[in-house]
Amino acid sequence: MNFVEQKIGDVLVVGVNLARATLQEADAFKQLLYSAMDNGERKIVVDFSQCDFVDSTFLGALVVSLKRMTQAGGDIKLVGFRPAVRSMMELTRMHKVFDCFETVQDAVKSFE
Amino acid sequence: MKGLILGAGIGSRLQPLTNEIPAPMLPILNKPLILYIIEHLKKFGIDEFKISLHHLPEVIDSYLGDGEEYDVKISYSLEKDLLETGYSIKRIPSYFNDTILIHYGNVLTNIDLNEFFYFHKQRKSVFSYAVIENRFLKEICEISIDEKSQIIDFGYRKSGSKYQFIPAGIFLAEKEVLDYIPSNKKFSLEEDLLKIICEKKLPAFAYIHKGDYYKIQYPKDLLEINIQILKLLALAENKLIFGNKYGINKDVLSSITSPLFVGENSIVNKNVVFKGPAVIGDDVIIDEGSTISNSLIMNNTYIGKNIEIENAIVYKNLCINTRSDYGIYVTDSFVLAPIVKIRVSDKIREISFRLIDIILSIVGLILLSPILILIALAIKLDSKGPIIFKSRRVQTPQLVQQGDKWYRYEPEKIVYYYKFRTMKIDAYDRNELKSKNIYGEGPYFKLKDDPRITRVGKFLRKTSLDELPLLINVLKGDLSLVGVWGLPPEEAQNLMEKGVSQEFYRLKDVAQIRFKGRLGLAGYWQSRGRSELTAEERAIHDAIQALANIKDEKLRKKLGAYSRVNSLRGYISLILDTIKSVIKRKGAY
Repeated sequence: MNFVEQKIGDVLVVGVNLARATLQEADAFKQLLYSAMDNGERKIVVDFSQCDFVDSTFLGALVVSLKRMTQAGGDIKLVGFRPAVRSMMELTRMHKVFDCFETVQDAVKSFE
Repeated sequence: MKGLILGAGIGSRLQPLTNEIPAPMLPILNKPLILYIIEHLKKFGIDEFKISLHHLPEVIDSYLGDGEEYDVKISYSLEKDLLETGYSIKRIPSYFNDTILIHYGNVLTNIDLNEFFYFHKQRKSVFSYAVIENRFLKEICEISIDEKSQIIDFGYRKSGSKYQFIPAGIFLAEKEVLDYIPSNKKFSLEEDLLKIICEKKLPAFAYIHKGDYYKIQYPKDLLEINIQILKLLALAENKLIFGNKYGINKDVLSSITSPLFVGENSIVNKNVVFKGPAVIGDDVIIDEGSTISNSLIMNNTYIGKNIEIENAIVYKNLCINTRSDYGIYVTDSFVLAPIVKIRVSDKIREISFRLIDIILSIVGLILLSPILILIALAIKLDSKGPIIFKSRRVQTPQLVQQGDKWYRYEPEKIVYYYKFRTMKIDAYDRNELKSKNIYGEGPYFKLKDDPRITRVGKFLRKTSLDELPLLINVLKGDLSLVGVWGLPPEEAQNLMEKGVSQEFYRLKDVAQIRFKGRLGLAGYWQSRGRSELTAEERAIHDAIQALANIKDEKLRKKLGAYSRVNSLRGYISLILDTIKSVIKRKGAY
């Protein structure tokens, strides 16, 4: 399973189970987030703690989903950056686009 | 009156200090030198500044921004080539609508500018030098003046005669002086201009400054000015300890007998002895039993146990420690600084990228030459107008934002992309066209059925053949095969001002990263379907593409797998991916 879904309260936590999250899986990932939104999910946390590398297409999918989510009045939050992913997020200022947390618990809590 | 601060120089005599810090940003009691200059000039009503930049420009502009924090207006003149001080004023004629004050970025004085200005105006001078008496330096050209202070000679001192004057690095200039400065040529406001002044007997005068004068030219000057200003401050305020003393051990604090400056968050442990004056930056730890005298310890440094530092500068981010029971003794105008590694692999990589660019673009142009000729003929026959269309593309935009503030860079960097002309040369109503933008209201602009496009043009665009002449740009070195796609000025400016989209304003910072990257033909965005992607996706692709141009080794290490965008394999695979995507005709309109 590339993506693991788990429900904590009314928050959907999507674990990305890929060392390299790249364009091969980006479309499937976007579909997953889109259908979750269609099912009425408004609080989503994406867990990257298994990822050493997230490519630009994958991030693109994430941002497009975030845009749709904000329009729907919800939010997507990110957790579990490994050092390289964190550096990339900071350098590209993506950490200002998403609300980012260290742990899933923190992210879930922030929705309260 | 407006001010121009010359801050472009590399400061080679100040190395290694200037490897990471441009000279105007070197700290005096933990505040950059340039701020002392600005504060001094402001006292005399100068509140608009231009700062010329070249070496490590981001260090200066990210600190000063548009100057609002310091209650002045600051703009920047970014110099691509270092052509000395004359060029710095020659390239900004529009800044001269009145007399302007020019100030070196490595000089600090207490000059009375009202007096200097009155001196300049009264004599109807076109260019005035603040000068100091040259008592010590013998092997240097000097300025000689007549009884009215007009400059009459510039040269070595004649044997037996009294000392003369040397420039202090502060000038008052009228616009006329620009007529004597050549464009795009190395020209110094000292030697070169003085020669012309003497030859042509121009009305240029020398104002003798007799007060304080510091020039930071060598590392020892930085140490001296720090200690000197600290001592003066101690005398003036009649106290010894300045800055943040909360981190100093109590016993040490009560034992201090010479002036001491301590920055924020710094800690001085027990049994540390200050034998003479010392300036300590932010986030410094001085551990037990160390002795410091007459030294400057820059930010974020750890001085281990039993280390003795005397007459020395310890550069920032250093850790001085020893594993033995013996200590370390650092003394005598010593500059302790890290070695900046020039990575051979970086140079090789850069050269090989350029070689690949040259070879592939030549091979491409030769192989494609029959097609190029056919296209040229088709364009000529299909509609009137030239074959090649030069498209303005922005490398660096003019407006830059830092936090919530805007400031202006001059000039913006423009590259002319060579393309086959695909449009009619008649004019169209831009607003009407705007309503058909496939990106909607965003900063990017692209039409699906553009009425301006010719028949041949439609085919060329569909097949991306219109981009083929870009190989000439690559060969010329205007752009690389791999990099971010250059935006037309309007799109670039929109992106800077409004971000990617109104409802997604916060993506703006991400989108602007692209301007830090090299321009190129192939890249993430270009290889991933181009116009099929949304503006948001495009912004991210471009930002990550631009990351490939990061030179900082530390950053690159941190980026791990991302640095592969800067590898040869990545380079080639992006070229291949882009070609594939173009052949599949993905998202080309």
